[in-house]
Amino acid sequence: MREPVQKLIGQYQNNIYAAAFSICKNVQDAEDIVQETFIQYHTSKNQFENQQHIRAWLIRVAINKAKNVNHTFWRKNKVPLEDYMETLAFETPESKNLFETVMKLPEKYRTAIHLFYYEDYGVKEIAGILRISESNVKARLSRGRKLLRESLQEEWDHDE
Amino acid sequence: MTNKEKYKEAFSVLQTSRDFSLEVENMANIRRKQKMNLAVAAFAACIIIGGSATAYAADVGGIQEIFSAWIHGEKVTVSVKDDVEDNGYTFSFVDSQGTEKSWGGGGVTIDDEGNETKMSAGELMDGYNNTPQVDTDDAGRVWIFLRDKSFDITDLFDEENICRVALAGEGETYYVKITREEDGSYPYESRPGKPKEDKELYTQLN
Repeated sequence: MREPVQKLIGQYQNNIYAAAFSICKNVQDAEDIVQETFIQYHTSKNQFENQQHIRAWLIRVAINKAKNVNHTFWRKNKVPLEDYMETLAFETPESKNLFETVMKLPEKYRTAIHLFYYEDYGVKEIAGILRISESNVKARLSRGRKLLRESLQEEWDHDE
Repeated sequence: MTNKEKYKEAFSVLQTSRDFSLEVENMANIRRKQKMNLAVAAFAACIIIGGSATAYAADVGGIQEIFSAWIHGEKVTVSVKDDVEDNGYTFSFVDSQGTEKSWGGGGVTIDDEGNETKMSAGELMDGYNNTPQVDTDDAGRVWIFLRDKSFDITDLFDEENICRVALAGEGETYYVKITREEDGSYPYESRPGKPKEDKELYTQLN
């Protein structure tokens, strides 16, 4: 099955943007990644099993593109994360603290954490999206949670 | 609140206001046209550095289009003016140092019946975006660029002042042969898919 790209943009653009931003930490790059991801969907002839398959495919493509951006040597004149954060309207100081702490995690932990806590994916699904083993996903989640607990202390519960 | 609820609340601030609907359709259409079975001829472009913003503003007139493009590994916004009389285009952008740069170029497509059609600015920009570019920086280092990829190839020239590199693009590997001329210029030829010479001669960059 396939869905019209316009419909998918309406449904998932913010999820893809958040996933991309959580990796590349830059507004312009994240927006470009959203655009490139939907173009790739629009021009591909892939058939999908269901809506969830499409969503996972879009997120995987966006994550791969964001990683590519991160590994590009020629990056300069980017808006610092701290400056961008000042423009965001966090509900509470704790939310801002959590956001900032997550963004300081190493990329591989940050990605797994984001897919688990924001996208509600389970270990098996994350393994499929990131093309890594389930044990590897568990290790990344465990390590990421440990770092979050160490930094956030009582603001982050034990939930393993 | 659970950790998931806290996390979702914190990251719910990440919302994009950019309108992707129109951009995606337009870009996808441009890329489709690029794949049409047409022979592309006579595309030449040279970068002319300089020109002030004032001069540019005074020159605004005719049809202009805006494109997002990769130039020297960076995503920039390029303004394209249709030079109807010259059968080409003037491309301009402002680099990360705030300097305006512009160059001229154009081309035609020739169909199976030999009919020539002027290439659109979008087709030209797409071609520019998806083929390797070679340039030098202020320190005299030689770089090769393909979309967001950048590689310093200064030390890859052989005794004959030739550098051969292979660069993976989107679904295609480009084989690029660069020559270091005595006048300090670096002309190069780029071929997708298969080089003229033995592949083993080319250094894979990524």
